[in-house]
Amino acid sequence: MISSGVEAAWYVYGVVPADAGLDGLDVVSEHGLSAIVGRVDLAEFGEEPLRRNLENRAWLEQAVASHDDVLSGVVGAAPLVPFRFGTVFRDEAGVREMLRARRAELRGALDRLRGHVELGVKVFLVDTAKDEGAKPATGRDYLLQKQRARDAATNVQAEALEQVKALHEHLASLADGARANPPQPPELSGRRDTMLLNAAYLVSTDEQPEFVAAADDPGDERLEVVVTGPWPAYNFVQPEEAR
Amino acid sequence: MAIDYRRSSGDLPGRPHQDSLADILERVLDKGIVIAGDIQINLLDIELLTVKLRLLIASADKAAEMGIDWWQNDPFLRGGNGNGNELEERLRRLEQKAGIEQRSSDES
Repeated sequence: MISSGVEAAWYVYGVVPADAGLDGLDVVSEHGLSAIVGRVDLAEFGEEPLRRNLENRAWLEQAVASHDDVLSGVVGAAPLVPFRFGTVFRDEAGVREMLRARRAELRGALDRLRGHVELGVKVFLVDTAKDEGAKPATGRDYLLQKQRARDAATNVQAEALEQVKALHEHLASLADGARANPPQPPELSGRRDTMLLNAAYLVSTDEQPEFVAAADDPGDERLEVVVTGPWPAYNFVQPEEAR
Repeated sequence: MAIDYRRSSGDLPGRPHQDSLADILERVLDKGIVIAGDIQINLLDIELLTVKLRLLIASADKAAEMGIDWWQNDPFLRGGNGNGNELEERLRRLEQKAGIEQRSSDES
């Protein structure tokens, strides 16, 4: 990961129970908890370099993807408390001290997350713009047509929102945790269709098939559902456990 | 070390890999448990970064304009614990802090 001669620090990805028995991962264990760690170079993750790197989109995307890769490898194999990006300790003792100081809260979170995964559900309103038919004869007709199209689109969106809300409530009732996050704009989602729901659910692995089937059935062909995951429970360790 | 559970998992059979970079950024930068490490500055930096990311993810005005701000005011959807106000409060504190740091570094 890093070559010799550099000033290495300890990056913490997340925490699992010490008896999780994960192969191929570096861990630091203390008080029945194991921090999944990686050695990083302070030339990259020290205070000044990190500040610069955070502004470097290519660096950030790569680093964030690595963080998620490591944690995603654990999903399903052991209960896991995912850490937010950028938790760095100068030495192993710092990692141990963190595990000791936060053990009650980390154990509580692990117990709560055991046997669960996070699933993401995004719902898009598929573009329903239709050909308006007859060509407008006059400028006034054209404006009227535009107005009608706008009103129709507004109605469609209002109706769709009601359905999406009902879907979210239904999915929340099947899950042990639910969180509706701000929908992503097209620049982020990479789709022209309006995102109406960007939610995460904490789902028991036993109920996962049932949950996915329910999510896949939004009850309206104008709604397109995208299910993502299973994810580490990123959305369900904050903010309650942080306090 | 890169076991790629999601991409190789049979848990969601037949499901294409549909999580985008945006989904990953959103989670890794803005969610996950916050624990202060030894590199203290990172917490504030990450928080400021997520402020930027959040602005990108959902400019509230834009969302409202599109009529998709229902998640903002619905206590059920918020999980009933008033996260929204807390988040705003946190943002305000961070902005203040950033402003203060700015000023103090100007003076020095």
